[in-house]
Amino acid sequence: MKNLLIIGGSLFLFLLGLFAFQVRAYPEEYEGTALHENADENISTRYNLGGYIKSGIFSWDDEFREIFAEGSLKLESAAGTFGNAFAELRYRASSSDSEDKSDFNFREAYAEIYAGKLDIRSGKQVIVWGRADGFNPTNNITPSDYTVFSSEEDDRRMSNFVVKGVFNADPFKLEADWVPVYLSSELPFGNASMPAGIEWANMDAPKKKPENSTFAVKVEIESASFDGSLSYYNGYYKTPGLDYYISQSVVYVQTKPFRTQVAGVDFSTTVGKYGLRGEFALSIPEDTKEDLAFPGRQAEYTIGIDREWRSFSCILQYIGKYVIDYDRGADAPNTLEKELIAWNRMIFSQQEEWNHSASLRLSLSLMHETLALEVLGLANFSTEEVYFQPKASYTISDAFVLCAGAQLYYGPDDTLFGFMEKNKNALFMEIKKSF
Amino acid sequence: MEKLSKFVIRFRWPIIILFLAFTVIMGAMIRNARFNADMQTYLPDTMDARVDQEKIEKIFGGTDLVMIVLKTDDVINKDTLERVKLFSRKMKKVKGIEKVMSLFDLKQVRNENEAMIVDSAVKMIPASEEDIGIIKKEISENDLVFGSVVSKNFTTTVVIGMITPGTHDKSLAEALEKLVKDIPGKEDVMIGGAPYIRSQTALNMQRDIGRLLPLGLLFMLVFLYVSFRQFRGVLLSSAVVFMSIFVVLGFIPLFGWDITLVTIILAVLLIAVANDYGIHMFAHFQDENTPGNTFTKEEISARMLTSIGKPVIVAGVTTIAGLLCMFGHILIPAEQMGILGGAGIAFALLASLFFIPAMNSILPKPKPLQTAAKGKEIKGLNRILGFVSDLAVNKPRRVVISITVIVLILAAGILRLTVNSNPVSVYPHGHMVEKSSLLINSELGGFFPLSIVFEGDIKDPEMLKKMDLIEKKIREIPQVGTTQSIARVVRQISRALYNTSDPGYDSIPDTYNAVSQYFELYLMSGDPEDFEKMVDFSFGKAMILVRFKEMNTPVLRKCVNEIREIVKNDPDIKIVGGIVDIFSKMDKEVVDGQLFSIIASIMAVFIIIAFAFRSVKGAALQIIPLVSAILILFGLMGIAGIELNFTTALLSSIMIGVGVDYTTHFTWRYREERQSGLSIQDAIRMTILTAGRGIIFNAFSVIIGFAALTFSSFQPVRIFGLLIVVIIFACLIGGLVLIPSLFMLIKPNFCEPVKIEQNKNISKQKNMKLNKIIIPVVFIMAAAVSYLYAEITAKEVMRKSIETTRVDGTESLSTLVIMNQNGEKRVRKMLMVSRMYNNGQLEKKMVRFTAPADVKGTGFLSFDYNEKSDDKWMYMPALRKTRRIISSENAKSFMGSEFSYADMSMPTLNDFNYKSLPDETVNGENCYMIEITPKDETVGEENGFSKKISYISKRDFVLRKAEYFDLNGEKEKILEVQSVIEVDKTKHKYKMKKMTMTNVHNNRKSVSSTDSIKFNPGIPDEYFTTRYLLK
Repeated sequence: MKNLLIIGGSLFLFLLGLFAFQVRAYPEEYEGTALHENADENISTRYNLGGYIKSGIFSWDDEFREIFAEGSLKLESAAGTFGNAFAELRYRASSSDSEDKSDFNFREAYAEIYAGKLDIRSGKQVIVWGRADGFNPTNNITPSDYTVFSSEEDDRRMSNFVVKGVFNADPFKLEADWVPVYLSSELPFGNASMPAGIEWANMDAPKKKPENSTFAVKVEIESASFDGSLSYYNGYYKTPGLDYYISQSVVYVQTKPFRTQVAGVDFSTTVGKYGLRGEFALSIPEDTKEDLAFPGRQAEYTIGIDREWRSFSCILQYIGKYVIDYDRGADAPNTLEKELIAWNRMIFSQQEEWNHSASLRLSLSLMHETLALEVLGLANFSTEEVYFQPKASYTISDAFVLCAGAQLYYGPDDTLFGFMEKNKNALFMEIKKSF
Repeated sequence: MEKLSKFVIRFRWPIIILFLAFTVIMGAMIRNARFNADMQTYLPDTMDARVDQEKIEKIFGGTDLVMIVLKTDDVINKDTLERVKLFSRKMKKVKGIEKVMSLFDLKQVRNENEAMIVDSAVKMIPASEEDIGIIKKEISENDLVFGSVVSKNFTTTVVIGMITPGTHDKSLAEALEKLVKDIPGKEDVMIGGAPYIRSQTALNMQRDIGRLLPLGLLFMLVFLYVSFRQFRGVLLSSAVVFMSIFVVLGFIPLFGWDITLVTIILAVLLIAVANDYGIHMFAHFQDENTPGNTFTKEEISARMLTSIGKPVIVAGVTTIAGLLCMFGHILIPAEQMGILGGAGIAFALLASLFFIPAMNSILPKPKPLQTAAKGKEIKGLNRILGFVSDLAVNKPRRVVISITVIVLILAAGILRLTVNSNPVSVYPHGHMVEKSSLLINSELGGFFPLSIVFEGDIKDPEMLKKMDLIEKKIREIPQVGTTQSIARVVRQISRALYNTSDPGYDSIPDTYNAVSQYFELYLMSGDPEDFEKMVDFSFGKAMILVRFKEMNTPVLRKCVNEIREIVKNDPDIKIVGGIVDIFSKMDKEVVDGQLFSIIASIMAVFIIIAFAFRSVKGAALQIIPLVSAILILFGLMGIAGIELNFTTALLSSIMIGVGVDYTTHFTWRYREERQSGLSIQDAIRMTILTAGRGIIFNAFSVIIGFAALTFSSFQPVRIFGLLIVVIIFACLIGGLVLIPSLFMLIKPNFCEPVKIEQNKNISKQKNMKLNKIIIPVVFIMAAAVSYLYAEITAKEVMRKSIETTRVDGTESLSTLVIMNQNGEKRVRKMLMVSRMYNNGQLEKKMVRFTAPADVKGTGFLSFDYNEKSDDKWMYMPALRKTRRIISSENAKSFMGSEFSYADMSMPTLNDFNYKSLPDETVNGENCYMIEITPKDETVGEENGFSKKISYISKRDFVLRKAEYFDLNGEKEKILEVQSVIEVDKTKHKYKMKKMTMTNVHNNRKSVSSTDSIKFNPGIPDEYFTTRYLLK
């Protein structure tokens, strides 16, 4: 029902936008100029239709993790003076050793209003915050899907219904986001088998009430030599914790979202031939010490440098975390609670008081930018978790790309990557045609 | 080690992929590498001698010479002189030749009918014997040419070209070779001079790399197979070598360095040394893979590390330390080789520790080695090892005394060791470079120049007399071939004005007015350019140019010191410098570098061994074979008459790093055997018989690898190859014979069983901390020479050309078609808006791609500043946010096309030098032809060209054509502008509407065409914000 509401609302806004904002994005005196892709006014200039068809195989050892085919249709109204609208419809059919699935959804559907310096975008959308590369502690507004098999990082981002307002006072920007209904991230162990006497129960989702909505604000500066922002988030955290209850002698384990406040800072600048970027976030979950699903307070920090040498680029980052309430839950009364606390620590990467990780992304473009080689590595030295993703993409012809690589998680059994090592490690090959 | 071995087996796939990916990425960098044969640049550009040389070039232009030498029985004849005349005429047209000096260009000052006449040294082509006699008489009386342009016995003459500083050696050498081919004759013709030698050196370097690398690799593969008798051993050990070479050669362009003579040694060093660690690992694997063993492939692979990992690490770290001690060497290539060699060996060590066990664990377990084959090999080897162990155990005292005596005898040769950096000595006897150099030196006064620069009023007779006196004294130095100066010209004028009996004959006049009149008289029939290499335009600075007929740097250094003594305390002499000064100083620097690297290497190795064995005494003992090997090395060089030069100077550091491995492996195993309870004698025997096999394989792999160097085109590299073979053998004897004998005699405590237990506990704790290895990356940016004398007019044309395309604001829609050599097309469409700010000091630009579908929506926002680095942001739909990007890589391809980012933005005018070339017509458009060269290497690298020739329309100052030369000086791309549009009709501003860039190397082509464009100075500011990138 919730999804229907979101989709229906988004679609309504999209259709509204589609027909309402047919005025050009640029003032009238530029009509028929180069700013438009085509001077002739016709349907193809008012709306852009695009998308892609993609197919891929993810496999490990003797089993297929997933074989899938995916189609996407994107419809966008040309940017007008007062706004525009966008929708992407996706269909994905997949098959794995355990199940066959097909899914049809609106990846995004939103309408946007330009009111002078104020831009308001409303609908189902993905919002990404943070200036670090890939590991962004300030990026909390829309959830992530850790179950999806895809070579593209963007596919792991989930959309949600958000009303987003940006006031542009160059070089400053003030952004305010409101998320009326909570949507949880998809965790990779959603259907993990449980010991006898314990069963999974549905998520203890917050009721759809205004007081359960989420809001976030961000002040950004984008000057010639420095970009940075201060942000504040107050709402249900995208990744829920695990909790339990007992009913009729059966123990039910369920995911349970919690409210949190996150204060963040990020920046990026250049120093000579080097790019320097960093991000910091202080998370303060709601103060319910007795609730084992809640993580402890924590400070996360990322600092990285990047550099290009012709077609080779390198981004090296240090990613650290300090768990302020590290001893939280140490006095759990029973084994189950102890077990769930361990799982929650794993989910929130709070197994160590101090976490030290490093990420390295090396990419090389060859053969006149038709062959892209990329290696992404993440090593958590504190928990001995490692993630490694080598990838090669070859552009066969315009908009036709063949991609092969691997996603490899390694870690001790009691860590998230240790869990994902058994379920998500895969070699993959994808082919994608965009239009 | 156990933890590490578990880690390696568990993460074997990521490890294999990581190593392979890193190798591929680094290997792809190699294509950007450049060759540099200019030995001058091997020294830091802050060195006094180089600074002086630059100052001289700024005042008088280049002093570097190329020469075409003609030799026959008698050069004064019709055919030879006609040929000389042709050479002279055509040489003037060669790019990079600033001035030509030949019998037809240099002057003769004479008296004719009481008037002074200045004309060519040879005015006519002789038609008769009488003419020949006249010409010879005139030449023999002409100081300016006799003995310098024509030999005193008239068998040799030369056409000399003075080089513009910065001229590319290779293109110059090719042009001269073409000249020689195009103008045939019966005379022997040779090309000489420093630029030609440099170009030949570069050519030979490339040939060497092409020859020595495959040869070394072949030697290595054969040796590995003979040693292991299993393809697995060959595959794993050689994979590490290949990977190390790719990685290290990839580092060279990445660090902004060049391939030099020394780099050749680096590649061979890796072939020889990088497989050492793999050899020990695989030898151990074979020892354990016996018939009937029950190890799984994972277990036996893990045991490679647990059993032998530690000594391999110690051996590797000492080698790395030895090489890294070349950091700080005064010779830049030596320093670079130290860093690169250290990085390569570090990579090889890591690959041996991680990649080899990981690979071994995924491959099926091989059958144990055939007993017969193994037995045969072991039988022969064991006999040798048995003999060695008997010698060490039974006659240790005799062994130590004998080796000491041999070392001392050989070390006595150090007294005869000489230092010499003669650039011609790198060529074997009989090579064309050597022949031409010797001929120029013996007959024509030499080619190695030194300049003595005077500052003051040059027309002052006292100044000229002083100059004349100094010049005479310099000419008395036997190694000086010839000199030239303005004082000599003045004396030549006086000889034309006076009779031999007059007091003014052959002397400097006494008054200022007389000197001035001399010059005026000369200029009435002579040319002011005749003086340009002797005195500056304002007569404020003058130079005595000395040429030496000697190339040995110790002798040259002595000569330079003598000259410095002559001019000592003279306030009018500001500089004594030039190429001779640079080369002669190289000697001293080589010795300094050598001493530094020897001391540093020994200290580093000492510390590492002391740390690894927890014993200072142990370290001191293990250093003995090394010190002995160094003494033998320099002693042998002295005895064999091998000079210490910039190549042989590298020997010691390499040797220290590599040679200590054998001692380390022996001692490690000996200590383990003692710990297991064996007596000293049995422990020595057991160690020699077991570890001895790996040690001998290791030493022979090094010897065989370096043996490839004996096939080099360069004499010092060949000698280096021979010496390293001898020295590694000496180290092997040190490790397998001397050290066991010393242990027998001294019975060192650090190897005794009780202490080992304690040491082991301590080392276990400390080793825990060594898990994280950080490899430092050193970036050295090369500073380059900039010219002072940029052509104002050429720069003005460029300024106008930039101005005329600097439009206040535009909106445009463009198509970029990228075609490969087969004509297959990729099409990109983009929308662009631009606007000028701050009176043209800042151009803001926004580009958004509209096709093809996979890049649609990608946008760039850039702020191009005139005087500082640009700010750039990129928006990619997949990222969902704008991202600040680094802006320095302007040379990289724009969206995979032949255009670079530099081509798409305004050039910074002051980053380049400009020179006018003869006008040309392009597609009917009369154009200025401007040669554009980057002011320094960094600008060149950032923009991706070493030279660019632009054809700029005289009518509208818009570029019509451009030719780009890559960083090696080869023509790479041609830009042709098919159509131009006047965008701003009021201010007459233009844009190129359609242009094609063709890459002549790979025949790829990119066409950029503007489908629509509109002039609009009022584009709103908000278009140039990240907000609009997102829309």
